[in-house]
Amino acid sequence: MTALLEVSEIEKHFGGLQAVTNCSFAVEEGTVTGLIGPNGSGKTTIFNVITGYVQADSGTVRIGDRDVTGTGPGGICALGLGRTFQLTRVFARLTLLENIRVGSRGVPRAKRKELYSSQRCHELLDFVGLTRLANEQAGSLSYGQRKLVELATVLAQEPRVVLLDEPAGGINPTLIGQMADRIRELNRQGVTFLVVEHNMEFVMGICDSVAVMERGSVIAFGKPEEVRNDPRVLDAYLGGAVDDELTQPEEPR
Amino acid sequence: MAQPESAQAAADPLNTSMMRNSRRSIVLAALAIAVAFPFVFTNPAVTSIAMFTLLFVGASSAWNMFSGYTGYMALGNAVFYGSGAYFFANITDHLHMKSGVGLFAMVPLAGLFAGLVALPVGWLALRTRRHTFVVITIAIFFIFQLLAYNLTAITNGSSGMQLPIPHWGPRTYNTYFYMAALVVAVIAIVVSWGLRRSSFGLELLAIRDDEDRAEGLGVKTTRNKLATLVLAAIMTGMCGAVYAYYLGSIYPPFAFEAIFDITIALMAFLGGLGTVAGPVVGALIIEPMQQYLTLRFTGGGLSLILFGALFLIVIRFLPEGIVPSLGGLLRKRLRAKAAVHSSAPPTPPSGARVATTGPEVSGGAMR
Amino acid sequence: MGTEIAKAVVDGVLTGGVYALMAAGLTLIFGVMQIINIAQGILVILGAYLSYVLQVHLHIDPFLGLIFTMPLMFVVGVGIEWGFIRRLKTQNRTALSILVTFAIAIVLEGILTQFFSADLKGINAWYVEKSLHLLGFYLPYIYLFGFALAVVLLAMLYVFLYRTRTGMSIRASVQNRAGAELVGININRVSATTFGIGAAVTAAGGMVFGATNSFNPNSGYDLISRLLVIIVLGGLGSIGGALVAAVVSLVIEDVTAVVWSPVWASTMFFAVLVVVLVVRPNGLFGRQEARVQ
Repeated sequence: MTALLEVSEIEKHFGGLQAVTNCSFAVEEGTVTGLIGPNGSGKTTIFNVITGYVQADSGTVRIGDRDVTGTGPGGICALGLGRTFQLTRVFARLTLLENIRVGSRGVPRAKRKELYSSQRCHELLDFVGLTRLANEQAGSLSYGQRKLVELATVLAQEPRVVLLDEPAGGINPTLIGQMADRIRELNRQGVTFLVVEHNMEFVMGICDSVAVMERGSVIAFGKPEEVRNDPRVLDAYLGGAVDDELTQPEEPR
Repeated sequence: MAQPESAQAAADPLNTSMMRNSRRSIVLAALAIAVAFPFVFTNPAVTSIAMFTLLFVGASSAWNMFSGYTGYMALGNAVFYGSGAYFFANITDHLHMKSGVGLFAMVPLAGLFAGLVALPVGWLALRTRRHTFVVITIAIFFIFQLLAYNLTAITNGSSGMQLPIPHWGPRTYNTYFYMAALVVAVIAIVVSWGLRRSSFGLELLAIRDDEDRAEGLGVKTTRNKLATLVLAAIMTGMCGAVYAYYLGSIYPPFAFEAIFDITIALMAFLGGLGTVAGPVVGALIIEPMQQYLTLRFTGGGLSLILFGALFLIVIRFLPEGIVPSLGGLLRKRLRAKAAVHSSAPPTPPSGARVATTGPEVSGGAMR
Repeated sequence: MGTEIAKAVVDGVLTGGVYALMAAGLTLIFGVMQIINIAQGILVILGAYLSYVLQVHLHIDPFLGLIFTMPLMFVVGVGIEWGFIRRLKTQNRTALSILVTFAIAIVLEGILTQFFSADLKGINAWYVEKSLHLLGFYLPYIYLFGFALAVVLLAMLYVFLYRTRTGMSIRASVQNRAGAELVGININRVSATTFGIGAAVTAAGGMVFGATNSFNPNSGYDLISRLLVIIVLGGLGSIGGALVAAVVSLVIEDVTAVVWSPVWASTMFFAVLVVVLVVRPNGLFGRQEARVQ
């Protein structure tokens, strides 16, 4: 089965810094794949390369059978790939409803559904639990609420694959749990996810497979339990010492 | 599946059906007053000022349509104003048209010409990002002004061009132009309003808030910006054509006036950038003031000092503009009233924003 | 024809140097504060009037008069920054700064018109009339002195920026404003100083401008349009770029006047910007505006 999203041998440097080197991994359709690694390992860079915000020096990005290397963000979005940002971005002066409507307008497929796009926006707002704030300006919301709006806006495009950049970052534990629930729900409905995260519990809890990056390349790929105990991964994070978080058994959910 | 009225009021007290109806009535009343105005106040000095005010209502609304909605500050709209003016002068000359009401039919054509001008100008200017964009619009303005002086074959250079002078009597002369200006102003307002309500308008506002993200969500940013600029250019060009016809002659420094762009920008800022009513309010306040100052303090720099000072005061104390500030105040009052009457706790106040977006049906399941 | 072109090139370089000085101030202000100071043009005119007053009423030589006018203009610049620019909120700062500085420019123009009326004035001195006869060229001394002044002041600016602590703070702020604040740089002081410098150079530029052109309060528009073109052409924030752009633009303009016609020379000045931006949307030396993080 061809992976839904595949990157091969991506190289990217910024000036003297090699951010990504010989980076390759694949995301199977219908999975939630995690992308973890210490700070500076190149996770956000590879995200930017995949979604077209940054041009790779060499290597390829494929969506399904299609080579999309070098396509700009607009083109990537039209191919069914959505993403959120590490520093949550919303359209601050638009209401929540308007934010989502912008998302639904962008994609040609959504235009065919224009007839009931308004209803769809309300559904999405409902899905993230923010219906009562529908007419509030996005800029006046709390950080966590804005994260949800950002997610809803991306979902409005009916993407096949969603790239989440630190969805659990900067929000309280209850909301983290809700975020995880929603990702699982969407995954059940057929959406594939690639998630960059530092929160190990979050990653281990929802991911089917995990890719670990260190210094620009993927050093391990596999099921969460395999990866967690892989000595190369431990080494990357800890430089040899033992860490409670990674080796301690998962708390009962 | 509408929410109960009180809950809707809590959401946005300025968006209830009662409010919308009263807004509709106000607009209709204003339109009626505007139409009746020149017949009630027949003094030509007054109708002249009123006509200029309407032209600026149109030009400022057009400017706001682009710069207010997309956030790209364009300071070169005089290019379209002047292009419309010169097109009108040229076409009436080439077709040897006789003066009269029929000449007003050329005004929309002048607008379309200005729209055509906006295509290469916009394509060029929009290649740049925001900071550079402003400067290049200024540069293009100066280029056009210089072209007006130098392309004597088309513009007759500094000798200017003469237009056919209508033979209407002094009592009714201004009225015709007033009406033409009113039509153009109304068109600009209607287009501005329609744009704001549409999905296209929403995309423009998204461009304003976060252009890169909008592009990443599939919004065709360059195409949208260019289309809006062309639209604004058409409106502005029509204003320029009426202006030229009224003056009876057109010269480069009048068609392409350095202070034009800053004036229409000030009007939009004063009234409320990005709103529909804002430029209208701004023009209604500023243009009569500017005319009065010019008449009263000719020659000296006092009118400039006052004009500049006014601008600084507005930006300092009313950075949002009049309409949003008033809207915010009104909203707070109404919310407080609703809270007193109902037992439900008031919802958190949103930032100041304009109530002139289209009515959204607050359907969907309540949580 | 050859000598005429050569002369045009020389003229362009000499006047370009003076424009470069004024543009350097403008682009520095943008680099540090992310604002475009539309008042720079009228400040030059103000500088011209100051030199004029000193020369006509107190018979002080314009170059010597700079000892008074430059510090005075520095204070004016600081005052404007403190009074109007500092209060601008960060959102939409650049756009607002354009309107605010434009308004300030209008007020200044009005004040100057009240004091001096719209009559054209000029600054006179022995070197304005006389020329140096060198290698078959007649080079007006004022152009030579003005160019020398520009070179000296730009060199001083360079030393200031690269060899002093304040200068380093300013450069740091250009590169990363937030970062500079985080390491303890007083961004307010830096901004005020930068604006002051930007205004001080207009005193010098204004003096030379007033000596080589007749001027009135209305001359500010043409000036600011040229300065804006220069800094965009050179790349916003790049002083070196402004230098190159100033000289190149002025040379092209002067050569066009000779080769084609004087009528089209000014148009060509602006057209150069248009042409360059088609190929390089960020100017000759501009930094690519960063996309997403």
